[in-house]
Amino acid sequence: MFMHIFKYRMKCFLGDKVTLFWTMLFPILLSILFLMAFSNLSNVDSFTGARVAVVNNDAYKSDKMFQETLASVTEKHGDDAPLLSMELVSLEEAGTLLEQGKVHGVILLEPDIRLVVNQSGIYQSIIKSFLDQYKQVSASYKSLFQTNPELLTDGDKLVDYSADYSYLTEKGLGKNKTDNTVTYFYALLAMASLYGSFWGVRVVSEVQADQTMRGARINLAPAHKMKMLLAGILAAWIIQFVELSLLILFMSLVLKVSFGNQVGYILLTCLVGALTGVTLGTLVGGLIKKGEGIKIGVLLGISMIMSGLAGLYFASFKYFVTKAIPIIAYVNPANLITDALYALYYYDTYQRFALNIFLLLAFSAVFCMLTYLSVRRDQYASIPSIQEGN
Amino acid sequence: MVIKVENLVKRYGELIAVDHLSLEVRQGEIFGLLGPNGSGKTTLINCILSLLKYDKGNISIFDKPMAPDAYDIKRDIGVIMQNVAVFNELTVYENTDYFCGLYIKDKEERKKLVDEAIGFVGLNDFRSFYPKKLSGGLLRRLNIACGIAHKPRLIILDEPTVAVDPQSRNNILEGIVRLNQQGATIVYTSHYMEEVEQICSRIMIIDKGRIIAEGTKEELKSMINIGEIVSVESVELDRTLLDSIGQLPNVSQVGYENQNLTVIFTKGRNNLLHLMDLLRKENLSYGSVYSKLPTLNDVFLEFTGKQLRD
Repeated sequence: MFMHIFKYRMKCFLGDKVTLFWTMLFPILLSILFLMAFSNLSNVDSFTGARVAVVNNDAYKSDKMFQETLASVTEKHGDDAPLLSMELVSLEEAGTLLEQGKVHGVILLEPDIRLVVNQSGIYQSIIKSFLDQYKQVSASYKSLFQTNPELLTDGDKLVDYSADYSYLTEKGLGKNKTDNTVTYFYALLAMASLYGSFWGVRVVSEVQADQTMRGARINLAPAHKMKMLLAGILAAWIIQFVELSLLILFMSLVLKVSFGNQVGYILLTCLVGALTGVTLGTLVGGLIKKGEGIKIGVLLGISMIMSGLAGLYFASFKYFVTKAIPIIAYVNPANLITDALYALYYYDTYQRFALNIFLLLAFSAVFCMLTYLSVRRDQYASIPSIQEGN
Repeated sequence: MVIKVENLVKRYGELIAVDHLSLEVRQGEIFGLLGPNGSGKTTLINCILSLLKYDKGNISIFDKPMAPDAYDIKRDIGVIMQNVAVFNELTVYENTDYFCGLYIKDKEERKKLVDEAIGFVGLNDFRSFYPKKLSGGLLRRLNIACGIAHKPRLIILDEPTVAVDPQSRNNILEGIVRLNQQGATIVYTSHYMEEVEQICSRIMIIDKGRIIAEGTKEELKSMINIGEIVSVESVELDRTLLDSIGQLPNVSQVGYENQNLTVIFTKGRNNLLHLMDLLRKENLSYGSVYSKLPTLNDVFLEFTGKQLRD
């Protein structure tokens, strides 16, 4: 009988176009809007290298060490943009380029190195930091040569010494490059997971005689209510999991949102997220003895608040909440889903991911248990659905 | 005994919906539960089916105590609620198969029963239709198919003809009689006295959760004083003549409005002849004349002082 109920629950859910829209199409549409809104943001964030004009005067021509150093930081290394892009120009041309905003700064050797800028900003700071480091290193070399003149003749030692030094490099926390926009997409995925609660509401409504006429009819049949409930949860879970997987596929293949390469773990997150969403719905469906519209309204509110706290509206909100009120972050399923994906994307280890998945499973178990307690009764004090014909 | 209810009390707060009510439904009968809207019929049915908690009383079905987990009893009951309870996402066949599958495990047997049920309610041409494509009457028939597909021994129909067109109503009523002829015991609730009169072998009239009267339709009608109601249309009468009519044998009540005369007679013989004789003697012209026997509405009116459809 379980398979019979499960089969028809699947058919019913797959024919429910309204819920399918909200749980699958709406998140996809929202992800497209997100892409459009964040495309500029992403471009601003990407580092393209500071542009400098170097004055090609006699001091520069005679300083081979500075020339070599500049050459090393203007070379492209793999996919990373070079630290600086350089133009060798006359003093007049350098001034013009700076005025026109075509370069961020002008480097002038007279013979001491000077940096000329006409505004402050991240690129100007990068050029200044580079020059400060160069000055420090070159001063060290001069000091070394004074105290160890043999280095001037022993080239190998000098190479070994300098090889350990690197100028300003971008260092990520983990295996992938920082991309602030992914937080929004992860939060969107968390929101979509919690929208699975809409299925959960239907699952409970269909077995409660005081909720729908169908629930009343089912209560009259010689079928155990828990069997009906479990078959419904399983059907809803599978559908929600497939919907989330399709959403990830769409984000990944069409919108080019990066989820890293660990497909298995990402699918596991979807699977657990879908279960949490569906069971949240069964819980609210069981606890609130009102119409389906009110329950959906409550769940919509819960989903949007939880997703908001997980960074759906402002990515920095997630970090603020995690830092200021960590308990909220840990009891918010949307944040746990976002954080699991975040951990997969950024970290090399799986501890943080495992903690998030464990907490999601724990929440699902609690939701299931509370649902059971709220719907286990077999008789009702009143059955408004029969009078009202819901 | 198929159903036995003893001293049932169901309260909604201060309101007593079922008030110390007892009833018995016998094997093979069509038992009618007649009462106006809000009289407690549906509450009584829901208590019998163990859907509703009740405050007092005992209920047994097939001589066993009824309980929410009495699956062996539930297996033999088919229920058709007053509102349609089907899934919009499933076709006529799938809906019937789904509900039948909650009772019958064997696939082959179920297929046969579902085919039979769909044929029985005349929905063979609509097997692959979704409920939204069906008219109100066809939807009611689907509702019935879902309730009877598993061939129950006891079928409870709670106002199954509300908002149904006359053709579907006749189809439903004929179907109920056929189910009864095939061996099912029927409990039929309605506030339509004509339907109850037409198909029920025994009737219980209830109001405010209390039994007003119980018996066959003949027994119920014999409980009241009205024997015959005569109506005469388009007749000119004055006060003297109306007094003369009031003094005819067995006359209990005389009404005259818009040239239409209504005379209610108590039980007796030749009531109509006496009235016609009087009109002829006075040389009065008149239009159509009707004579009708008392209805269940008259029974209800006499016992409660109000119309059944108030």
